[in-house]
Amino acid sequence: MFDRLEKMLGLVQADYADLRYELARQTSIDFSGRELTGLSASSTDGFVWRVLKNGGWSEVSFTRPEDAEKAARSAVENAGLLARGGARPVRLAPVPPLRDEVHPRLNEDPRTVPVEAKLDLLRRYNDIALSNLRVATTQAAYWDLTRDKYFVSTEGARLREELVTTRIMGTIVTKDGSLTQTVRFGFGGSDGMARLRGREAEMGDRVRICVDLLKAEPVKAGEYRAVLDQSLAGVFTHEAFGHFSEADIIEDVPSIREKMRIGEQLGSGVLSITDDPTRPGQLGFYRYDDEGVAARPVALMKDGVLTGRLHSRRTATEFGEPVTGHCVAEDYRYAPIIRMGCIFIEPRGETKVQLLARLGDGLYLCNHMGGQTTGENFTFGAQFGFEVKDGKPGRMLRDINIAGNLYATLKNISAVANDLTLREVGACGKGQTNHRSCNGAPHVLVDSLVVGGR
Amino acid sequence: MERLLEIARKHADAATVYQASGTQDGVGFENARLKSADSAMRSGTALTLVKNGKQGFAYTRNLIDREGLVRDALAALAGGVEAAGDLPQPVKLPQLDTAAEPVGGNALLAEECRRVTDYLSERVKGQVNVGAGRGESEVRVLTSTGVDVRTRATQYFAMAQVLFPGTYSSISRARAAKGFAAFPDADLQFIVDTYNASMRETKGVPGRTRALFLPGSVYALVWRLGRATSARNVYEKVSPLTGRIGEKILGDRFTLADEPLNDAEPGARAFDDEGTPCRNLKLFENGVLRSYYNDRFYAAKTGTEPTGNGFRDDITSPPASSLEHMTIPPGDKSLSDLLKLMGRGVVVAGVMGAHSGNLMHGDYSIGLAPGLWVENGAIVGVVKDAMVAGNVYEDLKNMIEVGDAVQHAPMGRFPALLLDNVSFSARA
Repeated sequence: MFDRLEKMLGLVQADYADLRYELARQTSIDFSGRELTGLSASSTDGFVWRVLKNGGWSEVSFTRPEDAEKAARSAVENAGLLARGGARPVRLAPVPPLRDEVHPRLNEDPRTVPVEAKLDLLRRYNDIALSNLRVATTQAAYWDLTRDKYFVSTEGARLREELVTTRIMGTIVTKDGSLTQTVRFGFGGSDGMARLRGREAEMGDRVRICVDLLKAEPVKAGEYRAVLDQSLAGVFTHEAFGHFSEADIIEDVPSIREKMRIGEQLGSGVLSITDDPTRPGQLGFYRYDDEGVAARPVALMKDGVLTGRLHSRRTATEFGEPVTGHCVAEDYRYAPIIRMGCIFIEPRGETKVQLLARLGDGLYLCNHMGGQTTGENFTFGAQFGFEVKDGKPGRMLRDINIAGNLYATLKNISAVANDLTLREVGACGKGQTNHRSCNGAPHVLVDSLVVGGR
Repeated sequence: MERLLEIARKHADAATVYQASGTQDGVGFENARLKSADSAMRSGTALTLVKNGKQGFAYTRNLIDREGLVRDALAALAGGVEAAGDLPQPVKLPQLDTAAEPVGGNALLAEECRRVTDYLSERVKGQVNVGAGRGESEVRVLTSTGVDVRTRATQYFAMAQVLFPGTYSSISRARAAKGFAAFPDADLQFIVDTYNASMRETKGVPGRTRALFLPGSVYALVWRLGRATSARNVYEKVSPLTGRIGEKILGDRFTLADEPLNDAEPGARAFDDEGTPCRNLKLFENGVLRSYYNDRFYAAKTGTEPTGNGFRDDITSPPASSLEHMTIPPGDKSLSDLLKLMGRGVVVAGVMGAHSGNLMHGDYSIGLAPGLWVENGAIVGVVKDAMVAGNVYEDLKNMIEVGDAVQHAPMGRFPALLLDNVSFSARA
């Protein structure tokens, strides 16, 4: 395959070019309630060109090998347009042209498991939910994806890395009269199928939470102090802070770039945040990014001070900062963009109980339900929560959405617990979908959050 | 495709072949400067086999190994996925005018982006981002029942926004057409006037208030209605609208339709991705629930006629019920009329987190990105760290007025909607 790709590289007349080819094999199985609504196992593939000519930089994806030349021509034309049209000239940070082949160490390779066994496993979890009389329906999905990625460049890089992702995820819907409640479940990762087995007790817990929500009370709108669980604190870290650590998000927004200066005290002294795709065993693992750079851990914030940023080769030059290996594509359909690999808040000394005691009166908010940011403002949902009085969680609450200001909230995190947990299923929707987006945190105490409600 | 169908028929009782291909080009200006020019060329084929009442699905990007694709689909049959519903029969479809003169290359897109950027940059202090794109696509569906339908479409789209400092919150307008369509000055002037009126930061008054959802924010409301009118959720009995066809659910002024046959707009379709004829469908008419929408699977499950709403995200997913052509008819109130009617309240000019909350139950609780505060019928500034929350089944009963201009927006084409008694919260 490398020889074929290197021959294609010869089609481009440019200052630099790289070509990525991916072969993807995917199995997916879907239940809607008791109905098995889908099952497929298919392979597919595609290519992405990236071309630099006279400072113009363009990316073109294509699926048919016979389109390689036409796609290369488009990339060169686009690069010419950018070079002539006043775009800031692109310079790529120098990196060694690496040659390596990486295959993941898997605890049970999903490619060796028959589809019938995957179906049985999914059905077992689905049945746990459906056996509860309060459960009206479910959506349950099994999914595994093997990406076999080849990367070559005119600088001489020649890399192959295989990424295998497995997951079981879905939603449970309970119903009482006209009221329905929804709770999500999900298990998975990048280290094999064994992770999907033996999770029956957790599934049972998710069902109980969804049933209990039918009796929960809607939260009242207002400003609160709150303890966030690992899932919510992890999503905050990803959505509100993490995206502004991605150099491509802020490079052309001077007002944000000005605030996100290395060395600025942006958070409280208890807050340290790291992104580390190379951490073994977690969902976001990879060794090389999709422009052939070796990934490395990046300390983004240390004791509240901004200390690092995530880069591609292009933005590393633009910011005058070192490359980090964070330029990643969803798959063969896309050129890579800067993404978090595995972002988390570093744990500190206290326990969750100690954090709740510090909170005294307020809210204990649990399990994220999606989030979004538009800069310094963010919003995200909690699947459920509890009213806390005198450090003790009491009444269960529902319909919780939080809005806040990034900079204020980073300073309002007044305590961080010792119980770091990383999520097992992820989907970051920045332009493309990154199914291996990993984040996590310990429990954190936030001194002020706006909660929307009726 | 014909050969693939032929091979498939040897192994199965029935088969559907779906093929899609297309090209896309796009140009982006960030902070008033040319930033990107990229292209994509995609193709793919999906195969669904039916045998002994079960179905198997498989796909590929490159149709080199037809036997291999059939083998994958046959292997998927072993899962036992029920093949509810027959395949469609051939019928005469309306001729839709879906393709315009192809828009020239990225140079033309860059020229339009430059014009829009210059217009806005001369009139506002905020950061200007502009993007434009063009696409050509072909879809063909071939079934063993004799359906052989195809469509070729062209699309042009553009987006212009002015950002509030420190955020990606913006005042924006989107434009979509079959062929090149320059941004009218009126749209650009809307951005200029609204942005310039909103530059001051203000607090707003937390509590119940009137809320004007601009067209780009209306999807946060109709998303909930889309979930509840899906035949799948009706069949599962989790939709609050189950068994309520003909019932008055929302206010008199509220009508929501799906209009795939409207070929004045880009993306019109005479057939869906299963080969079922599309039709224009009223979901709500003057507040009355008129119809659910379905694909062939849930049409069979609910014992109703297929509505032609079986669409795929991509060749990698089988068709599922979805609303691809939603619209709300316009009212007769201009934006300034709506602001005057509002008196005091919040303009929901953009939303964050529209996917959060209990969608099926109709609840929403969304961050404002941005929210603009209105006093005495005029915008007085932008509110930060603020949310609006409510329930569409209550709030769309309290709809006061509908704007007179339908705009291209996420999930469809919508006018502005003025609602009463919406919960507004903000940092004190």
